[in-house]
Amino acid sequence: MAILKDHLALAETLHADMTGAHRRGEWPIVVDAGFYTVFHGMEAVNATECRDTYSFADAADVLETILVKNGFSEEFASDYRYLFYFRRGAIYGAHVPSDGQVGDYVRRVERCRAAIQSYLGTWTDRLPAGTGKGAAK
Amino acid sequence: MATQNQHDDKSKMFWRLAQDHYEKGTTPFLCMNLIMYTVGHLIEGLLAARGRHPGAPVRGVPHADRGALLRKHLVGEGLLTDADADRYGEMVVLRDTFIDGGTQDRPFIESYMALARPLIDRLQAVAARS
Repeated sequence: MAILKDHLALAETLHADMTGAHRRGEWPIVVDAGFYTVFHGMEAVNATECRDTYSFADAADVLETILVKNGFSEEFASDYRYLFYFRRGAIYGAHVPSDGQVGDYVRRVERCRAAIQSYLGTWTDRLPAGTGKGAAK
Repeated sequence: MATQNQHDDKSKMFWRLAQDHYEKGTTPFLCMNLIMYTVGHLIEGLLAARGRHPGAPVRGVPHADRGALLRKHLVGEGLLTDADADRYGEMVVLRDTFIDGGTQDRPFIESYMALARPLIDRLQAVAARS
């Protein structure tokens, strides 16, 4: 629950954290930072229409009932579900991912991030100054 | 469901990462999560040894009733105190409101670590005796 620019800034910070952790081989941080890169990117999209999600169930519901209709692809929704359940199993559960699985996870994060950036780019002229595409570094 | 040994291994992994990244000044949001995952796995390791596992809300993550199970079984058996359970509850509340008013900063994560460390020490001691 935050405003657009805060979600964007956190998403970009976490993306950098994921990239660095991937280089260092710290899979728990790759998984956590990667998931939240996408989650906060989605929350940034929600903020453009004055929505907040209070739970992961809310986020999945909004994705499937609103964002996909607004132009996010089924591939995006599938990737998000993959990231969510992967994180649940690896962070909370017993699983330890292989290097190959972590690499695939990162590719899905990048694909989702690109879709979010593309979507937010269409909003640039309707957003408050300094919050549009490229504002968060 | 993870076993006690799997939870113990993960609690050690997350605590090592939490301390390392806390010292390095990594993004406070991530440090907060690493600290919470340490505590979560320590608690769940003790619960797993008793055949108890937290549930998850629909499409959520499995720590919905961890606090209630902690009070019923670990405080109930005298392994932890009400004050320990209250400390865990405070960690959950602070984490759940992480985004209200912005993102976490260094003073926040320092206070969060100060809140968590005594509970982690206590849980590790209980786990070592189990």
